[in-house]
Amino acid sequence: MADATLESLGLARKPVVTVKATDPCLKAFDLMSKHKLSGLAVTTASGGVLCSISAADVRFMVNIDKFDLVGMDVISFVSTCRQMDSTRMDKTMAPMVAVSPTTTIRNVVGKLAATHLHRLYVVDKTDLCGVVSLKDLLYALLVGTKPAAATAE
Amino acid sequence: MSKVEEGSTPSGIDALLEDASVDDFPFTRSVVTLDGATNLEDAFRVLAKNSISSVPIKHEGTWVGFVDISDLVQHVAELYRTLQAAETARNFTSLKALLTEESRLMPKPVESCVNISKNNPFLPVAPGSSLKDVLLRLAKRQDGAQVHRVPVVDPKTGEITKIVSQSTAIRFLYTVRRTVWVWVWMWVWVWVWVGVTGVTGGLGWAHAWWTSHTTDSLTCGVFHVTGSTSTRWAAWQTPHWSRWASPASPS
Repeated sequence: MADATLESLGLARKPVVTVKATDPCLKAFDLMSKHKLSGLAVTTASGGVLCSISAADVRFMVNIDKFDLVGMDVISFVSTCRQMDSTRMDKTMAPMVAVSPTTTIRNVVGKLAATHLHRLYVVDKTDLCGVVSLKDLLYALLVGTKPAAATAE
Repeated sequence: MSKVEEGSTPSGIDALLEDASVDDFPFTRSVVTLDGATNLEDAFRVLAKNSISSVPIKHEGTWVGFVDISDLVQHVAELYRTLQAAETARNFTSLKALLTEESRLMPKPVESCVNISKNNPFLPVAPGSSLKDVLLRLAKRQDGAQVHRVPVVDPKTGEITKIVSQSTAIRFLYTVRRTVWVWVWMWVWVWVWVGVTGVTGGLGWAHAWWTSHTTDSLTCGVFHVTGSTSTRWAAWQTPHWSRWASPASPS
């Protein structure tokens, strides 16, 4: 199982909820609550994936008590949070950690364990084609088949 | 790669989780809890200060659920949009100001925001429960909702002793599997090392013995000394630097 690829387990391709880098930050939060997600992929105008935005980024805004950051566009909000949040220095500061459809479950689990992220986006060459969440991996490792109701988380 | 049928745990994981209880789960930290009457701003600050995404809420002696950072974000986004519509949002440059304004209009304790995203139900287990069952609970949907965390509640004290989250579950599976493989590889390499040193050492001694008995010379450390037995004995007695400075003389 650990050497199976995402593609072979049916985890590589699913609809991904995205937000444009130039969209207002509040739109990202609205999409998160509408789709019951805790993170979104941030894309360029041409559809290329740039980074991710998550509810955890809001913690930084609370720490410095700068609520007017929500008035920024998504990419400015994310870059401000990631550059100045010293509480995350021991974890990943990479703007984007992605995997490909041919990545093995072992590698995906290793990346998630090392970076403390909750999801990894699946990129086929340059196209964003899916997202793998912690639940998907737990299901694959413990049950062995794709969850019946795959989510876009 | 073949898929494993529904209901059967893939081999390897079974062995890892056999007879393991939730008490054996190693990734734990002190559990942060909040009273249901805590105001929203303080709840935000507790999450931010502790770098956690969710906190269990106890209201009037009963656990009522988790408040997730997503719940609070959803609440604040809706509040901001409401105030933006009234064209007052631009005046709020701090979260405190925004929530103070809300408190003035309609006070809201954190208890009112519990699981508003309907995505983080509170489904506790007792100490000693099967770890496999807890992990399966995290892997499957429960009544249409995803379970991100499973709290372990001590029935005697009613307190949460630990929380098993999806994130720590993945780290547990990764670490345990990696630890097993590290031990296997260490064991293999120890035996390879023993074998290689044994063979090379034996060959070295055999070479020294053969050379000393066939060419009347002796391999002394890294120095090859030739000569009679007495000369070789003298070479053995000579300090190391001296042997280096003046090679052995022929017999």
